[in-house]
Amino acid sequence: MSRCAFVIARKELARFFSSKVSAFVSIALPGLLIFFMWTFMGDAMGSMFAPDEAKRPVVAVVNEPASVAAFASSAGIDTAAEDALPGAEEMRERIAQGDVQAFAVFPEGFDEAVAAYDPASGEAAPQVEVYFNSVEPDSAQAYSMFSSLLDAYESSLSNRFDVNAGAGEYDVADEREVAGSVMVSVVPLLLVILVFTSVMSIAAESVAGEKERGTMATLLATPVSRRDIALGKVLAITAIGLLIAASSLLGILAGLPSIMQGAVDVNVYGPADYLLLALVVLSTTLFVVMLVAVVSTLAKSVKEATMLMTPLMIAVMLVGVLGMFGSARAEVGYYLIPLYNSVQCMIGILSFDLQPVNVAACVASNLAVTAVGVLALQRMFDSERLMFAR
Amino acid sequence: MEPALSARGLRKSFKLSAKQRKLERTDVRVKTAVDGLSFDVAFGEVYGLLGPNGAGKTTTLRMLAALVKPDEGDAFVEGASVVSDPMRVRSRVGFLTSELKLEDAFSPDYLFDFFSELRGVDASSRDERKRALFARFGIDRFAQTKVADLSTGMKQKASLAVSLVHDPRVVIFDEPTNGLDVLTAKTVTDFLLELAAEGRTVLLSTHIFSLVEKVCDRVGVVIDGRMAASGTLPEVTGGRSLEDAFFDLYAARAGEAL
Repeated sequence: MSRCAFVIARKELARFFSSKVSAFVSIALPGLLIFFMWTFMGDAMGSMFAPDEAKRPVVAVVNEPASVAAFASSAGIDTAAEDALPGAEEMRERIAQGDVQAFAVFPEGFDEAVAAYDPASGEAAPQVEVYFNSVEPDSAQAYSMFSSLLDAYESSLSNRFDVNAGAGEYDVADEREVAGSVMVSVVPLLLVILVFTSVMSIAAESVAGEKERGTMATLLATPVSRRDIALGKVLAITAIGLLIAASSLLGILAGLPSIMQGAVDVNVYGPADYLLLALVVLSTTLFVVMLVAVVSTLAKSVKEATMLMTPLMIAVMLVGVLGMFGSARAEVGYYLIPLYNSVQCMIGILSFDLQPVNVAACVASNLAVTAVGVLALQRMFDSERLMFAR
Repeated sequence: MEPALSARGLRKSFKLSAKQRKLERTDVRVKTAVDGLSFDVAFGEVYGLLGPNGAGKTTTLRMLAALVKPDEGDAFVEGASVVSDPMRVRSRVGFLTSELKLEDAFSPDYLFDFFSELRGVDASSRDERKRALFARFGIDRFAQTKVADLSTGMKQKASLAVSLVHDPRVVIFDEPTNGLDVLTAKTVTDFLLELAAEGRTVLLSTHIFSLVEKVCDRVGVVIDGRMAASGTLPEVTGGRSLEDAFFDLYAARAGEAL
């Protein structure tokens, strides 16, 4: 590689960073967006699902049995006597006003009917009806609490056994497994999509854009080998692609604990895990850069390059989605298929099910395919038909 | 004495895409742009290729600047072959065509430094040459302005300066005054005369008769990719005006009534 390749790479980077807004949008925004969106969503979900002790739900009850009234009070639910069940419209209005969150109708003489009921008789059990508005979070929560209350009351009537009623830790999964199961369903998919889409627009501008604007011909008229021109562009796109990958990964790792309501602790991964992850991401980024640079070279314009890359993007998304299901494959052959191998490797690393030979195969395969692709790209830069097509 | 520029039987064809065939209303799949063109340009001479649009002038210049390879034949720039040694040709030639654009995101100052670095010009020579060229074309005031914000004329002047960063002895200009306002066109024409006075070899293509009459020592008339006539102005015109001589040649070659 000659000095000129670095000169061209430096110029490409200068062009990219000449627009601060564009550079910020391409590099920092994906990671920041994920972080802020997930943090915001996590907070919203937390406030939606966490019971507000200061605000006890109120259920308007028709024919309220004395037994249920006492049970409800101890379960944190206030009940209010209701003469008759209102119509649906009135129920919606009263729930919206906030005085009442749900309505319940018990049959008359409920306690006596329950005491006299024989399940073996084959007759229908006494029916309790609970009305609520599912689009009102408070109403949905009141429904959930009141239904649970009734289930608990029913169990108490003929309690034969309980499940996990003690104070023990019954879920024996450790923190690493919990974190792993969540991370593998999110990280590989998001990362490959973010890296591909971001690199796609940069490569389209760098190669097809230069052809379209006529600035490529200016470069080709200099005594610089066309291979060095291709290499310079690949170097610059790779540097930007790696910044995007790092930003996206940081955003995902920083935002994940919030969106998962604290169920995931990213500190369960050690430096070695992150180092391996970085290695896989690096080789994946190189492969993606090569792929989009080749496609961009085939195109006459940015628009055509974007069009040609769309099916590739769909394929990348599908590969990412495949990674969301199941565990990492053990057979080394799968780790020779670019992109699929990266997703499998990420699953292995994040779920602590890592086979070093598979990571080595993945990185070696990605680098080898990238090298072949770059050689093909250099030959494409020698093609007058591709370089001067307008 | 060996000529500075020499074209020997240059031939170049292009495949026409379906879209191009439709636009040109033809069923021909391969178009011959240059068909066996030969001519010499002596050191210190200004040679003009005159011809209508589509005659093959630009393709000829692109082959001479080693931007594209000829299908047949060869061309030499100060003895270097465009076929076997294109890098040396590119390093010796200053090439300017309307097809070569400067990147909008950069200033003339940045681009001058960038192309100097690519051509291996050392920093002190670069700075000296930049001062001289920028002053000559009045780019000084706009040296730090992005190309996107320059006027068409100033862009052309910046392109001209950038094409000469390496102080070439042979310059090839394709339609150098095309699309320029009269003031910028005069600046470019005067500069061509200065290059000639400095003893540089200049090859230019144009369809503007007055430009040829003003700056060229010799002229080649290209019609349909072939050399219809070549020589000094009196040899080509035979006592007529260049315009009349050109249209007679065109009618005879292309077989069209004018």
